[in-house]
Amino acid sequence: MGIQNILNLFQGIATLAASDPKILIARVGLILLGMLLVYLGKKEVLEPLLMIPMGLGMSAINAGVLFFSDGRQGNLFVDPLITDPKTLMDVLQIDFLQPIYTLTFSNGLIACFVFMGIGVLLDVGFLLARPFLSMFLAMCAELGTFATIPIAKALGLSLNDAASIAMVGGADGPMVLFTSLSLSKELFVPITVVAYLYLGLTYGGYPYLIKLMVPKKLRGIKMPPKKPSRTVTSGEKMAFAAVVNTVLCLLFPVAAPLFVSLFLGVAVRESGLKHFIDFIGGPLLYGSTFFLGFLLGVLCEAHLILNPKVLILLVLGILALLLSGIGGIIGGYIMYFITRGKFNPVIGIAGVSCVPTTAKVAQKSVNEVNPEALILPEAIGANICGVITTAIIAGIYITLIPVFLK
Amino acid sequence: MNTVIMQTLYMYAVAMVISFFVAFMIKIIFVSIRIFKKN
Repeated sequence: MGIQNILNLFQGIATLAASDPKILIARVGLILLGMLLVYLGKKEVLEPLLMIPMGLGMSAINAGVLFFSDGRQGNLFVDPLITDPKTLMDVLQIDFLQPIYTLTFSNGLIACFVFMGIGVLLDVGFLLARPFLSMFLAMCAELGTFATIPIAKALGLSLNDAASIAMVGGADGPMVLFTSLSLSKELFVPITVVAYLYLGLTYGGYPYLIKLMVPKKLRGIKMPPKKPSRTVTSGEKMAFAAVVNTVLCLLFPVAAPLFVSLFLGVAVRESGLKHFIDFIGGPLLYGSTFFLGFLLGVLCEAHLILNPKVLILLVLGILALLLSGIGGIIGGYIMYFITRGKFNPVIGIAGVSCVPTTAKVAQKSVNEVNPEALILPEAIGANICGVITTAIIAGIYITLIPVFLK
Repeated sequence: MNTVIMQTLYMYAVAMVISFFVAFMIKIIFVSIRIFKKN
């Protein structure tokens, strides 16, 4: 038996041997990167819920390449580029992840499921207690979501791609997926992978940004005790969800699936329907997160990494998150000056809508200096508002950018 | 490039207006519920 025959038995190796050197290096690199993501997920350096399935999928897709009968190289996982309905029907019966990709991924359903789950976890009472302050901080913390667009355009991306990568500044994974699926179908995989990779870094990176921008003395500021305010009832929260959802759907029908998913989650939570809450906040949210991570990993093929735009996306993604963090802290400083020193500027960073990570990061950074300072209620209000403003911005991008390009 | 900056600023302004409109709606909802309960 010659070496060629042995290689034909193990086609993953045979396809590696037959590949162009660039593809060979990219495939081996992605297999190793996948393993690294699994390791970093296990060590909880990156979000394990996403990184473990993503890393495993990335390694498997780049290892499991085979020759088809017509001599082409391919895999039995998924083919994201099919548009012809007849070919799609054939592939649906062959590639094991194709049904999930076609029916939940390419139409944004999986992002909406995750958003429903986020809605169930949100207590909008913190936002309703101080709506203007929360909205102001959240809008400041969207600096990266906007400022990245002209920078991306200057680096040679189209307006669609620039807006999609700028959404990373909103620090909301499902929103990045939804926007890039609508605006930038060819680059949605690298953009979403970049987003999820960096979102895991907010927990590790933002505390350094806080230390860099806010002096120790200001970090320890105690928020003044609140006047005894009346509690927000679940009826008021339901009314908020119903009215705001309707208005936002009226304004941006293209992003209506996102709005209705978020506010449906909020409404289910406030209605107290235990079985629905358990289902949406448990199996639906975690099942969607699992398949989202796994499919994103599987979509990371070697050809993708060779796209010269990926390097630019990597730089722009981190820049967007950095600018959003800076914008949030600037918002905190503005409130500090308006209230004449009675506002802790660290709260501003919680406007970056990575729920609840950034609020926790803010509280942790404050507690390192002053263990008695409690900023969590204000921080969570800004954090939840961040989710709503990011959804609004997604709606604006999906609606206005095609108009600008006409 | 100037066009892109203007378009970005325009989108930021629209987002700002809508976000504060949402905050304003929250206040209106609160006031309406209070009036409704009093009557």
